[in-house]
Amino acid sequence: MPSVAANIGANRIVVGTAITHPLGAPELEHDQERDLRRRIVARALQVLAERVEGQTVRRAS
Amino acid sequence: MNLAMTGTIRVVSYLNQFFAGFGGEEAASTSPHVLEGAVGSAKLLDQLLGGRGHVVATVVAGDNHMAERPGAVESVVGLIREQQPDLVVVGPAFQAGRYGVASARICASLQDAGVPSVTGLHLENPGVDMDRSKVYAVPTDAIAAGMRDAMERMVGLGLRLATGSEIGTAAEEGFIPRGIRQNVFSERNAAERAVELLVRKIRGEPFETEIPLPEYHRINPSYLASPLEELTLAIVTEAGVVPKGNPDRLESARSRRWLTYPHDDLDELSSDSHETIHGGFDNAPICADPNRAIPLDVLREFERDGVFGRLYEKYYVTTGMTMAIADAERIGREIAADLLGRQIQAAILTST
Amino acid sequence: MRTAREIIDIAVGGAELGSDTRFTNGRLILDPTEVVAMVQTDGRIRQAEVHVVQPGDDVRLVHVLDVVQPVARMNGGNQAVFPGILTPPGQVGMGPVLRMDGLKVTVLGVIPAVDSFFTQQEGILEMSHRSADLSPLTREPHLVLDLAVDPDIEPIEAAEAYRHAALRVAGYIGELAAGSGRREDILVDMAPVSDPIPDPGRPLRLIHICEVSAFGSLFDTLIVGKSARDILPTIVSSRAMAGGAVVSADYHYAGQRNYTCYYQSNPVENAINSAAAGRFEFLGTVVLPVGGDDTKKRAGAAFAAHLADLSGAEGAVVTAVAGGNAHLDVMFAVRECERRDIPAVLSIVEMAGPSGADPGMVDTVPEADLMVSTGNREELILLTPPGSVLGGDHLLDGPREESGGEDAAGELRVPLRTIVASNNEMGAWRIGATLS
Repeated sequence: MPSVAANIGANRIVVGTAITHPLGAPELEHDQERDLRRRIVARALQVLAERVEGQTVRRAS
Repeated sequence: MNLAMTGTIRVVSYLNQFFAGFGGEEAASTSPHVLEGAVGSAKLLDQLLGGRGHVVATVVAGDNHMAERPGAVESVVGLIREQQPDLVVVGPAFQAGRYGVASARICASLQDAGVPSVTGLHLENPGVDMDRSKVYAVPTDAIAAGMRDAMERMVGLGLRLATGSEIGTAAEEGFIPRGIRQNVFSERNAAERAVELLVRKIRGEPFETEIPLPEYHRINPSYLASPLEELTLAIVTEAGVVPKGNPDRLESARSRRWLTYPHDDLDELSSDSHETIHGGFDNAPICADPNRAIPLDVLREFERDGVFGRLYEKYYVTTGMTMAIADAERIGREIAADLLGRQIQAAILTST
Repeated sequence: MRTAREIIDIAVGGAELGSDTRFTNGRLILDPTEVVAMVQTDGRIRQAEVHVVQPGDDVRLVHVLDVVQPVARMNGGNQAVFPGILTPPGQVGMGPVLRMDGLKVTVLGVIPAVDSFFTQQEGILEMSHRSADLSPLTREPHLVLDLAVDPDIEPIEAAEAYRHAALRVAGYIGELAAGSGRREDILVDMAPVSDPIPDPGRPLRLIHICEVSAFGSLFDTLIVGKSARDILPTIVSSRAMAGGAVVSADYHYAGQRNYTCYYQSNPVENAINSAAAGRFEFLGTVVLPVGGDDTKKRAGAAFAAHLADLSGAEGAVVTAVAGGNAHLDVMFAVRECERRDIPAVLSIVEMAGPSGADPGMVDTVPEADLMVSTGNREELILLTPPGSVLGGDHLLDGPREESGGEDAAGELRVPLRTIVASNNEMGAWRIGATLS
């Protein structure tokens, strides 16, 4: 829930898929799901290295 | 038995060096000690009790001693409890910062021990924010000119606390709100109250919410000290992911602790090796594939590809479900301190 | 034409068991063997007992699943209520509804857990004067169906069997009233009423945005018999609601569940109607299913506000359901209303811990500057041993490892959320939390 994370003050937020599976999607094929996860984590690593100014919310491409 | 009627209420007063008559800054290092009966401003307290109770002892300590010496609060509380008080009247501290903080901490500690206590603080005293939920503090003037008024309020509330009276809301009893949500019965149901308030809002009339919006602290973003390719990264999660069988019995809700588990021999998590015991949502998808909460599989890929330096050998876990905010803040501080102690420069937190 | 006569409330003066079944002079007499036989036409129900409990009785009900108001359709066929469940969905909202006021049908039973998440939560209702203030449902008699299903059936089947039993009996009693010889009186009474004396100026148009459980499985809501999961918000008329268009399939915390009776007789609508006549016009209820993820929550909230806007609402009462992430949907709904210049108030339960010291909700929006509290659901309540117990011998296992298994006849220390309707977020009761 990105809005919760933002409300309590997290500065680097990457939007996951769902509460019940933030880094996956059970409806996808295994490889597709892994690719989705790869994109979310890649976005997380990217924003980690950024000099963000204030709260930043990013979505996986 | 109503203690107030029998006049047997044993009251202990806590004062700093100044209000006990020991002096100002030159006496601020006075160590805690007990004086028999009412001393200094406790004499006014004894008088205002008017026979409903008596000040049996005055405990005194210096402001600097309380602010600087570890364990000072515990030793003051120990001295107070030796007097077996029915009520402890602490201060009032007015706007004095060190005195106010010490007073609030003493009251909170007494509350934990089940000893009724009351203090008096100016609304801007930093003590107001100390252990707020455990402290009954009446609002006072900024300066000691308001002594009699403050004492009268403290005596009124204190006697009610000491006699086990049912304590009403902050507004009814006249203490500084402790930030506690207390259930009360209204004359009208919530739907009727909602409609009335809504109409006020629509008409541009003043209205007052029943639930003030919470305020959280803002923290400025920190930056990586070294390039991504060189840093050690840790995984932290509140998703309740544990080795299969939950060997340490991590709670599925209301957890007060965090754990670490090694994953350095794994390329990914699997339903054979790990599960989640999180009780706050339908956790079947994560149990079926724990990489959906801890993305170890793709982090290993990025690690191998040199996108970042190295994944720390263990992951950190707790269960973020109906966790008390105080516990959550403490767990956050403890995990951050542990990470820093291990020279880990960055963490990915996954959240359900 | 919109008139107050779309719903006819019949006051029930009393209810008791007897040797035959009739509704005369406002009193209901029920032959329990007839009710048991009706319930057991569903082969999934293995055991059935019928009781009538009265306000003040020293009795504790446990395993309360749902509370339903007896209703009938005035110009429908037999039991033409609860569309999509007991009757074809095509009849939804058609024809005036007779609603019995002052009697509830209450079903007790145990649903096997689906998994560690979807488990029925304990619901306790005490009729005794000692605890009468804890719930709004202690003021009227309950026809209690104490049921047990075939232990070998699936949890969802079990839930459905209990639900159908309660709805069928509620429809049956409604029919009794409708066919009691008073039908003519009622029909005469249905002549269009003259408009109430209007307030100076036009009545204020208000809408209710009602969040409903939509997690599927045991935490769900049925809209015309269909799971609320993955559907967009929709607007429902009072008449359709009274006739059972929205039915609870939610067995989460008993204090904050929306029981079917609150969809049938909506506390928000009742509050609007009980205010000075002609001051307000109630536009209807926008049902807002809890979204399963952030995108769905935002979409649902925006669409609910859009429906309010389209209806010409000048103000919205937004009510939450459940807690935790379900509170986000209503926060977003408030924001979306305010964006459309529709002032909103939010009715919401607080999760402030047993001491009351924790923040009550996981998230807020700045637009939620007006909230009404339905209480801290975690306050611990002491219940003294009752004279008798209906529903079971032991409490259900609590959520996770917190509690469970206590002697149902003993002294209990339970969170307020265990008490039926105590914290209902549609605003049914008088409990609220305040700053202390």
